Amino acid sequence: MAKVIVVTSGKGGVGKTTSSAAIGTGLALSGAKTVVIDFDIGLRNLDLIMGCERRVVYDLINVINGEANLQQALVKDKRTPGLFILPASQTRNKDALTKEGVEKVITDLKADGFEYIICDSPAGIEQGAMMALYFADEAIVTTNPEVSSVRDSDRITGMLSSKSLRSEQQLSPVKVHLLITRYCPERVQREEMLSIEDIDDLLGIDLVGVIPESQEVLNASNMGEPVILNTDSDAGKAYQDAVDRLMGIERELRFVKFEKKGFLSRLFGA
Amino acid sequence: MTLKSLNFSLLVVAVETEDLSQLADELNKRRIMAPDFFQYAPVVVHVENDTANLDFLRIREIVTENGFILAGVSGELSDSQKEALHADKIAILRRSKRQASKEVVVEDKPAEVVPEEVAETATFIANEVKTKIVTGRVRSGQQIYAKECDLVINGDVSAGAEIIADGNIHIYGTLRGRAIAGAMGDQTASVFCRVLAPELVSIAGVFKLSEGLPHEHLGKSCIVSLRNGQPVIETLN
Ligand SMILES: Nc1ncnc2c1ncn2[C@@H]1O[C@H](COP(=O)(O)OP(=O)(O)OP(=O)(O)O)[C@@H](O)[C@H]1O
Ligand SMILES: [Mg+2]
Repeated sequence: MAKVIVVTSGKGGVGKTTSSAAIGTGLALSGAKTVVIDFDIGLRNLDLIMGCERRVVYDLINVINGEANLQQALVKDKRTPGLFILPASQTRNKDALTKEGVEKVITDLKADGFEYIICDSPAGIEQGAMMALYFADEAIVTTNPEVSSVRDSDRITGMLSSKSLRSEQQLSPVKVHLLITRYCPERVQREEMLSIEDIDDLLGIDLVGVIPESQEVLNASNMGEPVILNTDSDAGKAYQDAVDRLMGIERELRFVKFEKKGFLSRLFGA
Repeated sequence: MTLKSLNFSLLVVAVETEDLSQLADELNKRRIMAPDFFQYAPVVVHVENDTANLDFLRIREIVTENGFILAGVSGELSDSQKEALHADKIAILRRSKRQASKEVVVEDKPAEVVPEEVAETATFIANEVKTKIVTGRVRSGQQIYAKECDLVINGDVSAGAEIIADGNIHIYGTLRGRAIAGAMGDQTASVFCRVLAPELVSIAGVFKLSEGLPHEHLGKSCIVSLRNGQPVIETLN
């Protein structure tokens, strides 16, 4: 059964697009045909992070308006087989994002054999965000370890339980996963950041992953290569763990404890 | 933009005579009792006299002066009353035959009003006394109102969430948001909670903000009630 997964947060800039790209890539690497849809109309950047910006011709709004068909608009990823991107429009009006239009796109993607449909939500709780979450079967609520991000995640989680198709039709509720990003164990230790336990206490959502704060993420976006492909990096490994957990494989949490560097390693700058 | 049917709980105030001073008194009383919940709250004026020559524009003024918004007028209206309402562009609300829905979570405060449906949950007679039970977390932005009864929340109430009851409120979890008990003015109402860390607790319109809470009660199991019109917090054991 095809799964529609929204990556959402309420608050902006917490790592939704980074996570959509990494998780979409990870799922495709497992052999499942996967598409990542950019719902951030007017602020398209999924294509940049996935490194396919120079191959974008048509976009989601073109498909909704019938100006292009799905096959024309889907951008095939060059590195990962079975991975596709449906870019957002940079120029169109967001109002073009209608429920009927999005429904048709998702139905067609399912008919086309896609197993995972990842919806990269824009920030906020306006139309774009509502359309990104409306058809979701599962949600990855992306949160940074700070109070305002947690508050917004709480808000969007409430909306998943009242504004989604599943809630309106009283089907089994959207399965919500918590993804903590930009986690910095050292700052948690110094009590400058909320800990995993604090966040769990405030949100009560099942944890699917904790991605450490990492320079590798910035490098990866600059190169247009999802960080999960950097299998040497902590962030890449943490995203792989999250993908595995999404697919039901148990993985121990990593990179969440602060380890003081020893004298020697400090000396040699390791 | 699609038009949907939604249910809303609305405050209903009765008008029996042409003398509108009672209406003003009643609204003022309710506003004082639960200022947070009632500020800009929509109000239905229920006309209980179809022979009265009512000044509906004045009614709307009184409603507005008291910090409410007139959602419409209901009741067994005479033709001339209906004409006057049409002329004044005030909605006439009819009660639906359908049962009031069990829906408890209202996402945001009602922004649109669909007149036909509005009166559906507008109850004029006190319901049978029953407790409203909500299982699970109440999240930021959600609002729950237990009309004319007690409210039990079996879970945490997040910061930014608002739970309101005309009776008592019981929270089997942590209260981080707002709890408003005795919303219609019942001074004997109380808030019980397992862990007290609220943004605001109000009993019959008398409220305490988190700032004003004594430190020794924060994070504890507590009862908040009124004594001589003042909020009192006691530890629950
Ligand atoms: N684990 C991380 N470590 C360091 N930087 C990160 C991490 N995750 C994301 N970032 C950085 O945070 C910024 C915002 O990330 P991203 O664009 O993915 O967020 P977003 O939630 O999609 O934002 P928007 O709400 O604008 O769509 C980017 O510069 C990204 O490189
Ligand atoms: Mg983004």
